[in-house]
Amino acid sequence: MDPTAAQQGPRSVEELIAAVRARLLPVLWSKWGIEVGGDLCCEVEEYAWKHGERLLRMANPLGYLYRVSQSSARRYVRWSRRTTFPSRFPDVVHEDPAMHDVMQLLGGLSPDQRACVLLVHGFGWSYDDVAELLGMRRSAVNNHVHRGLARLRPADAAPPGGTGTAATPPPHPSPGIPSPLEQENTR
Amino acid sequence: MNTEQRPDSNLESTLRRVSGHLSTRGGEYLERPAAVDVDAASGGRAGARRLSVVLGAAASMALVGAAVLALGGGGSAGRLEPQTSTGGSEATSPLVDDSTPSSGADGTTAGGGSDGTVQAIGITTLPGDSLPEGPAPDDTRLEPPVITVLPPPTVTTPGDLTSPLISEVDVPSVVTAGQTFSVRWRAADPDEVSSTGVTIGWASGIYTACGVGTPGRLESGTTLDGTWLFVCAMPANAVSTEYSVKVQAQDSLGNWSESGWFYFTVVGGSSDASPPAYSNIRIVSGAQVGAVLTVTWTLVDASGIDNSVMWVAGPTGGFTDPAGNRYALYETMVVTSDCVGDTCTFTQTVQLSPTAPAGSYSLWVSATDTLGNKVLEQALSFTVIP
Repeated sequence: MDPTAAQQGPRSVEELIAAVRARLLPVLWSKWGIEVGGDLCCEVEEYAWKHGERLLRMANPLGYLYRVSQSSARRYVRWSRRTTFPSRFPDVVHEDPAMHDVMQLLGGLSPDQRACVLLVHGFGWSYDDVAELLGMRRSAVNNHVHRGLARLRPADAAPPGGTGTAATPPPHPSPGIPSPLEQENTR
Repeated sequence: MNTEQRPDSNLESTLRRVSGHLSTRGGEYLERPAAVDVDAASGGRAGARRLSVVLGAAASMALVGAAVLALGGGGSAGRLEPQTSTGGSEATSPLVDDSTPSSGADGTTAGGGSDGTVQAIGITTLPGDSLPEGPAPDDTRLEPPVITVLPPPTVTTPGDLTSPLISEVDVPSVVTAGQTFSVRWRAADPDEVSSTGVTIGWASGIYTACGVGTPGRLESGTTLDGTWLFVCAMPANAVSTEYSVKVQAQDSLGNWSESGWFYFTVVGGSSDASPPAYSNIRIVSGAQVGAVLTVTWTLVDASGIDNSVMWVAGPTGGFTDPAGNRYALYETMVVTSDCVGDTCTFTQTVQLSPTAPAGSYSLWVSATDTLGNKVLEQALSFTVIP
């Protein structure tokens, strides 16, 4: 990640779209997996095209678009409350069994834990960069990384054959832009 | 002062490989070719991107179509019916079979064409059902039904067109709620089985507590011919009823096949197998083009109501007009509920589209209880005036 770009921010819609691909897409992959993350990225790009001028006036347009993506993510996960990470069908089990196992364990983490672990230790982002884009405090990122790594230890592994979903509760969408239903649907 | 955590070197190396894998496969996923630029006519710059969105959504939601299978009859219509289909004559995207109905059911509204045709995702009919034409409501709360354009089949090679052979499917006949159960099956293909997994259905559609299209793990043998294992922990509050299991497999060339349905019964779980019962549906105001429609209705369920939404179908019988415009602007929708005991009174406001025609409309109620029992059916007809 280019810290210079992060400081300056995109100056045109084209740069904003490029920044979405460069910075936001890894977050979406990490949180929601390849298919849903990719789909969300496309939706965010479409949103960016439509609202480019307004976004460019923002101090942190990528952070805003991240919130937009989390709102969109609800419909992918709420219907089934399923784990969408890493992919519907992993195809690496024979290419790289260790990676396959780690991916299954990552699938058992909360989306925020998974994103923080992968962004910091997979994609090599700094804690501050992760905190800025995800809209968290640095300490929260640190907690997510700490707890995520703890659950990736072998002792906490999922049962044989498990996909992570068997031993862990289904993930819930991270707080994003609350839908009107969720705002009002209180009982 | 925060202390940065570091994994051991092996784990960190693996995490690096995972990120590389996500980038590689994620990039491939984004760059998949598209057949039809659905937004080209409207000049949308995001046409190609939007298409890739819906393509992805097609793959993601293909199984959702099957999930709604049993909902047309108020949740009591039955289960996902057994059927064996093999749609592997051409390489297709995972879980989306262009040549056959996506759910393999007998009356699906999803009609995917091999040349990039429009397909309604999210609803499947049963005999006797009277579902509206056009895209059907999925169960997202704010997202109305979508029209999805499927990609053309990608023929990778003129070589093998044989789908994986699925056999020896071993499903327990009885599963105790709160306990783990396993499904084993044998999958063989001369071009290697690249992915194979399990879908579990029940009277309310796909049973999602075990995942959707959850992949299995190779237990013995090889990807050329091996035994695969799927393990799921049945929740303690799972409804004590009959569930169905289907196995799907895909080879390295994209040839796709699936088994018939197998059945097991859950015992020792929740006895509430009924979806919420709705009543007292009333249009308070706003049955006018462009106005804010206010609807109230009552739901009763012994297990508690999880969510409910009213979908607006227009004069065409579908949820969008022939041009694809929604009859209601769901981004304006607000739903509130007031529950006393096991009874909830819902109030929903949603603006009817200013461009929608006057005429005969209907409301479709979607409601789910806390155990996942679900109902989706046409509940009320009304007239919208100009």
